[in-house]
Amino acid sequence: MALQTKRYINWRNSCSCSMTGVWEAVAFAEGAVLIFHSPRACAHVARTMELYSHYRTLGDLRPETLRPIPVLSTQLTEKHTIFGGGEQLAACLRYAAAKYEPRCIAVANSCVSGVIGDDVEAVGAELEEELGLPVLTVNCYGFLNTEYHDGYYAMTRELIRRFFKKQPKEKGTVLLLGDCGGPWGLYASEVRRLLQALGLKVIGQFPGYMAVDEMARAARAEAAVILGGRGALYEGLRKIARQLEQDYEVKALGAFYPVDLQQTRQWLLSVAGFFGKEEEGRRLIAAEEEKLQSALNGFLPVTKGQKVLLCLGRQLDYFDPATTLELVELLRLDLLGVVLLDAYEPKERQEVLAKVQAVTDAPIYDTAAAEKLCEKVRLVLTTHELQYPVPQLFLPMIPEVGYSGTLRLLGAIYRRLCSRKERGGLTYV
Amino acid sequence: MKKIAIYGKGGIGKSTTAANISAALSQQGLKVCQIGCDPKNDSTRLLLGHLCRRTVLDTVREGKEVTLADVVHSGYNGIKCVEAGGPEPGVGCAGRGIIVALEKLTELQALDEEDVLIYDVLGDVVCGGFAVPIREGYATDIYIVTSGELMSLYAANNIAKGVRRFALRGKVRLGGLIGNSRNMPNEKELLEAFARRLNTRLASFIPRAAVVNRAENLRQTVLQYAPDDPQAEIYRRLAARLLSNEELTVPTPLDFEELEDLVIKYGAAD
Ligand SMILES: Nc1ncnc2c1ncn2[C@@H]1O[C@H](COP(=O)(O)OP(=O)(O)O)[C@@H](O)[C@H]1O
Ligand SMILES: [Mg+2]
Repeated sequence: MALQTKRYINWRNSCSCSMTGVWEAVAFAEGAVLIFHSPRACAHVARTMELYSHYRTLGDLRPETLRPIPVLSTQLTEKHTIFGGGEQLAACLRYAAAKYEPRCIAVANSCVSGVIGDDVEAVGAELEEELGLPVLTVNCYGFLNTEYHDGYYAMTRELIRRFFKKQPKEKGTVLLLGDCGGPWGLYASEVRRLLQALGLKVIGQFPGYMAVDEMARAARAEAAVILGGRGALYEGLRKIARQLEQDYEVKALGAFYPVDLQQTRQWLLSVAGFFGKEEEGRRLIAAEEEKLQSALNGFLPVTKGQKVLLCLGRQLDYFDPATTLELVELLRLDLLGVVLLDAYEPKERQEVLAKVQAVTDAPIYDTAAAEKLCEKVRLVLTTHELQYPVPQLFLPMIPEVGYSGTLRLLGAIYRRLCSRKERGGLTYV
Repeated sequence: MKKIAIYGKGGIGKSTTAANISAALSQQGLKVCQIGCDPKNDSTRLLLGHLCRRTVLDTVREGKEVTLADVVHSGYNGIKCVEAGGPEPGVGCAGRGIIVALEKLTELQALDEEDVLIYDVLGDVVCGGFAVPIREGYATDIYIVTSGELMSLYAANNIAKGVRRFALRGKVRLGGLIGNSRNMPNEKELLEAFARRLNTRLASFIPRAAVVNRAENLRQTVLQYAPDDPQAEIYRRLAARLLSNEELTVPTPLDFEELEDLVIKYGAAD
């Protein structure tokens, strides 16, 4: 069967809308209402995202316990593009205040209001006075010079500025900072599990999942643990953590993340160290690794010596090849080679190559070689869907976190190798 | 139908000149419509005898169905007067307003039966909206009002750039410059030289005259207020010229240094 080669498109500058980021920063902040100062159609972005997060939580089999806040749109029309959207925003703020009696109203601006130059800040200040209610505005307008995460960070900073208060610390408490799939997601769940195992108390996840009224007490946490990953995407989160440290004496923990075994170890030791629980930390690591080893002992009879191929095309901002190569090592798989897909630009390809060669001697190939190689292996671990009739395991976008995450991925590879006589198909983890 | 647009720097005399041209053409028995494309709304004031009471965008703001009678007002000598309207200074987007207003007029088929349409457009073509009368085939003959002052010439040159861009792919052409005197030395010579450099001609050189202001104080054109005044004759000749002008060109704008040199040359020749 002739197969056409699929070209991989790589979007360097993601064109995203800052409104959705603003929304994410308050999405489950009980007591808040969000206004999209936008044409009605823009609100569909939020609808779609909400649906995704719904499926995600369904997929994770975690019950949702928080309720999303109301989201309104000012429904800007042609008329407002000419005469300005300020009055419409004011009317919408009044409506929201009367209907929901919220503790605060957040405003996310669309491209339209940016292009016509609505003075959103002034309207916000005026209505704040009139309604006797915090109106939070940010200087981001749709995708005009801003991305999704700009909106997220801008609104987060605004929430801190408005609601956080410096206060005495409560011993052994931690604030989770960031999103990574929400409190029900695997990331936050695993971090919470490990922190609790150390005898620490998680007082909440900020922003996005903390009620407005609770924010005033958020700074009682001794430390903030950043839920994040590599790359520029999370630089904003680290900045916010530094701000919390400076202004509210909430110690920032999270120079690195528990995203593979070695880093999980380090991470646990540093968190335990900060709270003076070194001994508990070491005991926890030993216990967790014993559990992992006993699971591995069950996997190895199937996985050992199985031929696999690794296909990489994901940006380093989102992905570290070493994490996957560690799994290959743990399962004693026979790595036939590493294919660097066309998705990389020359400079990034060099960086990926260096990272891969630092941890494995396996030969490196180009996309062109992938099809032939696929015929020779039992399983392909890949960051991109390949069109060849070979069993593939799609490496997850959100890094696998801690021991549970690693175990989950190991288990998925193991199960995929258990099934026989397979022709192809893609497994998502 | 003749479709003319008058451009030029703010305050240079576009509306005054346009209203006098409209008045002159109507006196010749032509059906004329003047359309103000400036959020100031004062283009047709001298024809109506008052500020336009209802602009096209007023009706958009009210959100009502627009009818012809709402937005087409009858002025001096039966001239149809339309103002696009626009937002208060500092809010919204006047450029978008021009686009919408002109679309509305097209929808209404408001202007299908006229002999002459005159668009009076805010001069500094600050954004795409103000280029629409050139761009979308609303007007085909563009005239630029300018004095001999550098900034006025600068604006004129920029407008010529806009005309050139759209002329290269459509029917729009530069009809000429309309000199509106600021009583500078060698002003007419300077404007003639500037016109040559732009590959166009000076369609008229209008003297600065007190009668214009006296008429304006009574909210009238010179044509109405003092039809026998020499100034009225100048506007009549200009109007006739606009009607018969066949020398429509693709302009060749200057760069800023060339423009400066030109002004210095004629200023220094004083
Ligand atoms: N030829 C002229 N002589 C004297 N005053 C003039 C002449 N042309 C225009 N004006 C005056 O200049 C001012 C601005 O003119 P106007 O037509 O409103 O400018 P624009 O429409 O370009 O902004 C008005 O007060 C007008 O009476
Ligand atoms: Mg005017």
